[in-house]
Amino acid sequence: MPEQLVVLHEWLERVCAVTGRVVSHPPDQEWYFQFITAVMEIANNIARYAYPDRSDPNSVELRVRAYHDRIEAQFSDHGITYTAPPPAPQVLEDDDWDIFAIPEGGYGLALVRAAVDHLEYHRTPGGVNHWRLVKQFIT
Amino acid sequence: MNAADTSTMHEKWTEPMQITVHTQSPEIAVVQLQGRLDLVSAGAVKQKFADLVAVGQRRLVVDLAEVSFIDSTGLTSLISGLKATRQGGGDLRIARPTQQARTILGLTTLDRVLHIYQSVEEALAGY
Repeated sequence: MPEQLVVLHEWLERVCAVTGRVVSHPPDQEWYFQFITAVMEIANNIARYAYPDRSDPNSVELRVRAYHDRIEAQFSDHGITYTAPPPAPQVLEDDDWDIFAIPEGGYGLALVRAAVDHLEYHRTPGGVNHWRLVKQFIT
Repeated sequence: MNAADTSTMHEKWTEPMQITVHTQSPEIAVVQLQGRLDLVSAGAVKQKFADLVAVGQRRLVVDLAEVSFIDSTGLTSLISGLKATRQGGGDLRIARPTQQARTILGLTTLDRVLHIYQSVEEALAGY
């Protein structure tokens, strides 16, 4: 799976490069970093939680579609049901924080939510997990 | 830089994460990371920070200039290193983060916790 994550990352960079050439208002580098990082986090999640025994997840599918106003990424996998982890770490509102109280994990989905405009997850009765991420282009 | 110790975590299916430690003094070291700081490499990086603190190197500068990608598990290793150094009365400073690293630190607001410097020399100043 880790090798597949590297391949996925390279593929996403190529997709974004093509997208940047065909949309009317090409996003900036920051926008792409946010989108790619969000998609990679969901891929990480699937690797860690949908296939915890590191079985080969050949049935994971990712589709990326660009529309005039947004880009969407949709994952489908046949792994186990995703169970939400404990609440994500709180965003630090000021400098009054205790370093030892800051959690060392659980940033993945918080990061995704901050990076894209919409994130949803559901599992079908047939046992397929679906993740959908939407990020609007900046016009 | 006085001395360098390089350890490389080779995995057959991905580019290696190379960790190079440049010792500045018995308490101070620059940890240079090269490659992807992600699900694969985060554990080794976390362990390296713990090992350094265990031998008294509690003031660390982590040079991220050659880190091509960081994910949330990579962030976890940095937070773990920060806690370990602070626990030992030291600190962990970030030097030369790439734009992607700045993006992920900003999105998680961890840039308020991890102090970021433009250069290794600037990060070392005052240690």
